[in-house]
Amino acid sequence: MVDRESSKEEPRIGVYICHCGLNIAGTVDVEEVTRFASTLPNVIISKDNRYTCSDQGQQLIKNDIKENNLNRIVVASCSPRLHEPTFRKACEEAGLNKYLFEMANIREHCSWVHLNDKIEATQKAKDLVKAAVAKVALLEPAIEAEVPITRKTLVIGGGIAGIQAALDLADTGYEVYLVEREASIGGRMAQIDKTFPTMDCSICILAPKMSDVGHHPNITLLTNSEVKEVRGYIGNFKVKVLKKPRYVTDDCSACNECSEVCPVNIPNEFDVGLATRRAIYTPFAQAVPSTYVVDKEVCLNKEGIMACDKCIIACERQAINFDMEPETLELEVGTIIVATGADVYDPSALLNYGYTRYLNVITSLEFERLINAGGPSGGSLIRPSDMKIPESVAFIQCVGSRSEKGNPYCSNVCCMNTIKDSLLIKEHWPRVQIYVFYVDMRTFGKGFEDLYRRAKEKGVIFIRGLPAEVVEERKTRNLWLTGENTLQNKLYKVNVDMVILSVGIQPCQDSEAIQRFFTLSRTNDGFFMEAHPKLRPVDAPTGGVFLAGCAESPKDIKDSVTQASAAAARAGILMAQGKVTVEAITPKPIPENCRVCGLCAQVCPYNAIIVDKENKLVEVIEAACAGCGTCGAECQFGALHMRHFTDDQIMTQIDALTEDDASKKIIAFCCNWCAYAGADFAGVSRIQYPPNVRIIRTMCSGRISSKFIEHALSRGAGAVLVAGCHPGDCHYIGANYQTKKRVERLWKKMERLGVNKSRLQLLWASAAEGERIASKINEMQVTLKGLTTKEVEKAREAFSDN
Amino acid sequence: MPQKLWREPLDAQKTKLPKAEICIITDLCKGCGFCIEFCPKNVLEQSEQLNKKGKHPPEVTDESSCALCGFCTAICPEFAIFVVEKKGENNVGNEEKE
Amino acid sequence: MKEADLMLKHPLAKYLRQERMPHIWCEGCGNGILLNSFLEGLDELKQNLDRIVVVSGIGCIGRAAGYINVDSFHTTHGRAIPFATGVKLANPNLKVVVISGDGDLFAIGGNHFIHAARRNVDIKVICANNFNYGMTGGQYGPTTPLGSWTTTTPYGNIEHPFNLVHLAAASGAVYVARWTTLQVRRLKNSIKKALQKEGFSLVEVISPCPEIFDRYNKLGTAVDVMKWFKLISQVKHGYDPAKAEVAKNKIIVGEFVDIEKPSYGRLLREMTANVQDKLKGEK
Repeated sequence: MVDRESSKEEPRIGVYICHCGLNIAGTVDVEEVTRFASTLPNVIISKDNRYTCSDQGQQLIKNDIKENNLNRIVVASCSPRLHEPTFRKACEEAGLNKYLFEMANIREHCSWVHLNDKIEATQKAKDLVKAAVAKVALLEPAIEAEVPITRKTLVIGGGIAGIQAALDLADTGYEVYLVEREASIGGRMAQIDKTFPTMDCSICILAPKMSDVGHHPNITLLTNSEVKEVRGYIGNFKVKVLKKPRYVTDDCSACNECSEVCPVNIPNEFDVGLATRRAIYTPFAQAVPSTYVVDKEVCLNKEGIMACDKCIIACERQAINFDMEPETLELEVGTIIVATGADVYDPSALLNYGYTRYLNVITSLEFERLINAGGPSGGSLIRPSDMKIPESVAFIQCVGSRSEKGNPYCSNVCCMNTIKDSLLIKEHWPRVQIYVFYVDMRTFGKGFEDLYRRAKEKGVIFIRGLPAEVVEERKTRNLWLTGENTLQNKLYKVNVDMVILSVGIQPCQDSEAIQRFFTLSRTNDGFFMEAHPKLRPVDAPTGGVFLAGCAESPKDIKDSVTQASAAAARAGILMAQGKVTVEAITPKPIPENCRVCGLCAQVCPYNAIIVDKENKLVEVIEAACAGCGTCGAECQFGALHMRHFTDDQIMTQIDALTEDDASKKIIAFCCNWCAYAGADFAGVSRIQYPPNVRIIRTMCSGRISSKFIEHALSRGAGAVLVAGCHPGDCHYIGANYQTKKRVERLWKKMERLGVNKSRLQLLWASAAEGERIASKINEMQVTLKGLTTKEVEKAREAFSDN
Repeated sequence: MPQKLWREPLDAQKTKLPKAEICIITDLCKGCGFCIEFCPKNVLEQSEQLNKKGKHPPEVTDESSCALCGFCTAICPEFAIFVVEKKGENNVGNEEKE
Repeated sequence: MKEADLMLKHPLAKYLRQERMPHIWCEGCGNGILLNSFLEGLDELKQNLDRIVVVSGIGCIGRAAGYINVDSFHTTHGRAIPFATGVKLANPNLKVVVISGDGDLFAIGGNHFIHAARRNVDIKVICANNFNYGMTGGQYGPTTPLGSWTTTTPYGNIEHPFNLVHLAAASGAVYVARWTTLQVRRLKNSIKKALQKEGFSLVEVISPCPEIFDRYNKLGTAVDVMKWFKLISQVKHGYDPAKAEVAKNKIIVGEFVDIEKPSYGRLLREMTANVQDKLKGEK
């Protein structure tokens, strides 16, 4: 494949307008746009196509490149976040450097969001194609640098998802570090009694996998450990893990002598407070590793004083050592799998259910421990108040899920969990009366409907209508549930001995910290966002990081295992290749213009720029640069060539978009990871908004220099929107703080010059906030409507030297 | 597992922890204060009484909380305080979470 | 219960010469704690008390020999180690423990110490280090920290102190440990270990001296000094004894040396047996 020396030649542009079936063609007049495109400067070929991303569509482009000597390609179709890699590959295969390709987003940003504005949508599509053609003419070819990938993986979280991913990768032959916060792996699955729909004993199927992890030669198990710092990038992560001391060495034979003599007795977390443990303990009988651990928070030996040495005296193997120190390990890994799992919703906030006020109202997790043969009651379902087997129980579904009071989403597993629980009760105590109060019974999976039928056959009563209130009967400690049976249109008042709240699933408490380490995105609910919900469901947006299990969204064991194996496969692809290429969007210094002021190095979130003031040298460490572009925006002297997002390339897009009717338009600068993605999400969700906005994409809002905004206003643009990630969530660590400063300075300047400040808006939105972006655009229509010609001219003049 | 653990555990009544008897030989005490300061369960405090040496010996505030760790016994320079297991009573109960 | 009877109920009562109790040490003195730990160690090892001999020198801690209910010697200043060597060589079945102070063992007794360590005589030395000569009123000694006030250094001590664990290790001791009087359990364990190990052992015990050294140097009450121990002690097992310092803001404690070497007595007996065999064979 010969790369063509295409930068010095005159641009010969091929433009392809995609119908995308009716997705685009249903709203945008694609033929008109094709005709329009052929009139643009340097355009040699302009064609339309039903499905440009298909094999045939790609082949068309490749043929045209060869036959017509094309050296630039524009495809107007969906979001570049979806198919830019696809088309870049096609260009490469035809012998054209992949950086000589540009896309115009006329689907997510146009046809899908202006379904009822066909004329305006077509005009917008034309504008976007014009901007893309203008930019592509200025693009330069580039060769990507190659970085080697370390063939090791870090799996964070030792639940079933983490265990499965670790085993899959270790069996493939890669070295795996499995980091787990608790003293043992196993996670939630270790606490459950039986699994649906097969009614397998949960720990029985989990324990062999846990044991495999413990013995696997390729897995280094780090329990009682936490990730403290992550540096680096795909293929080359440097992670600091803090291994907290157990105070018990590996000589421990788990004989339990130490626990028996320990004087501290407290409720234990594994049994959700239903049973006790000592200060020195093992989390549960099948714990891996089986070594005991000392809970220093409650142990009598604090602050270095050994007040009590009962366990030390009792231990025959002398395995207890209170002088153990925490250890910080530095791991070098190529890929990371985040499998941090889930917590359960705490229903104490729902006062009408009486949890913590009434002893006999328990959660589904507490139920699992009670009915578990290895649990605090030896498998007897007993009421906490009098330790008797109840004669009647009620399950309340959707506690903390699908509601405004708790979490708005459905927690996936609770319906099946309750059906499974009710069958368990009927198996042991057939005469117990069981009520299930539900909103919907979601039994969607394989074998699920069958289990539902069996429960109904066994006499479990399903009532559609959650109780409004649970009230305790003082003497008996029974509970009265009152509510409406919405199928029969009748009120009910039911007396039961015990109530089980089917609590929902929440992301684990550490998710915020994990998010910051890997610059991941979280949805509003706190679960980690995948790169693309359909096509890349286990990839995190950050390269080299993958998601598995409930960390990504609530799911049952089967789906967690499936996702874990998927994540392992994806990580395996990277590591099998052994190397990864760095996108050629990093800056190159222009020494002639440089004054060695050092501002670029100061604002770089990755410390990828080295400024040598003595020798007047500026160096960019390409492998560490993430391509945010903040350095370029800060540089006042044009001493950095921002590859693929140069000042000229951005200016020419602004020019193209403000050529006609500029004062009616909003020029929006959106960052690739959040704002642009959010606008894509608005498209995917078909959220409609006014069509007078034109989006220009940069990798980070930090790239947006004041001069771009000023230029847009000097060209008569009605308003400018700068949109980026929420502060603290910036994909490039904190580059958006620079954006904020710049916009604030510009507002002051606008005030001084007598230009209406509200014509420049700053918006922080995440990739999930399509609504928010649409609202902002709606909001800005007010400013535009009230804009006079005089004001537009004033701004033109004021910023005209740009 | 971050849930607040609010219940009294079901086996709370079943766990047998030994009961302590704290013996203080008040006239041997020289009032150094080590036992009071370093008791991990803080069951000792300085008494208002004076002993024959003119010092304030310790007194027990809550014998039922004593964990029988024996630190007071080990740290007393005067052999003036020691803790033994109370024999013969129905040893039932549990410690509360600190 | 009458106090006198209660004294006899103390778990360690049988190890004390009750007729000599209560001891004469000051309120908060570390010597009492050292004694307590030592007796606790004996108790846990269930030692035959007829096999234990305690030898002490001159100083406050020297009185310990009088309080322990075993055969004991209270000897002249600095000569506890030579006496102990004599006892051990005369009856190798005895476990000989030297309990003495920093001045007695390392000033006047310094030469005895280094050679006994070099020879690896099987005696266990427990040194109560209170940084001065307490009994005689608070004069400076070989472990007094630089700049401290004592009665004979009213303008501040200008001499650098010994690092006792370094001295012992360098001289050839097989077991060297340092603890403060706050770490009673670990002190007891070290004493037990020394009692069971063949060869020359040193356990240094950093003690408060509330009435004299601590008061002169404004270190506060006995509880203040113990709390200060808690704050600045760092447990570092296996640390290089040369670097294991005792400073105003740091006391490195732990077990620093734990090696095996044949003791002087063993080698003497082996040599004697060899020579006698040879002589018999020649006859």
